Amino acid sequence: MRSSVLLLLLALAACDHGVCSRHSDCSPGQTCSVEGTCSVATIDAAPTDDAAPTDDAAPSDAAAPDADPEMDGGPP
Amino acid sequence: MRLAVMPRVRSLLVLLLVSHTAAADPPPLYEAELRLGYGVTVAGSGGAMETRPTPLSIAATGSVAISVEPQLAAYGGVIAETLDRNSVGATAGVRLTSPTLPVRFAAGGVYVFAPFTLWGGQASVGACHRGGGLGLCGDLQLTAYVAGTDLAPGHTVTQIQGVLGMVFDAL
Repeated sequence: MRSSVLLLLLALAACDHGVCSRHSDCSPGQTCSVEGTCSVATIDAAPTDDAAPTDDAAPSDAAAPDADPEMDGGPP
Repeated sequence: MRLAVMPRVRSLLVLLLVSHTAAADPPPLYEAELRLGYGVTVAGSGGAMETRPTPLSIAATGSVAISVEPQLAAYGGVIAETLDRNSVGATAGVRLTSPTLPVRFAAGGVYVFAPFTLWGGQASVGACHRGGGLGLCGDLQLTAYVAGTDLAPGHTVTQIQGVLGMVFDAL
């Protein structure tokens, strides 16, 4: 029992805090890379991907009001 | 002659005592347990491994006896991680308790669902000291996370924790 506690303490003492294996090991805004290091998520990665559907959605939403006047204007 | 008989008598008395204790303390039908765990995480991918302290794990579980012999119980409950992060999940499994010794073994699964997901297996071995419907338990617990959105690509995480548990007999 004592030896297992000693091993646990030795392992804790040997901890390397510069590496990660879970994204939650990193600070908020950072992700854990394949190499096991925390890095800030690049601007090209997340925001652009997130923004793309919104941008795609916006014109279609905007197109609807434009279409109505055309429809309104069509029959006469 | 007397010297040869004494060990047999002593063994018989011990056997009676143990069987009496086991008979006097039937396994409770329902139990609740609060568990606190802390230890070391061994993580990595391929040959690169690193160790770091685990988060403080808190678990609140309930169990129901599903077999008297062997003494088998099914457990389930909620888990949380805190100290250097916050996460919430669930755990479930089975626990085998020795009828003659205060030793117990457990195996089950873990699912962390917020803020990221983690899937893993869990096994533990430990002992309890019981009295008056309460019990104080100590376990050595191994948890292996193998999938989930919290894991870095190609990584696995294994936690070795010492767990302190407080058991309450519900019925």
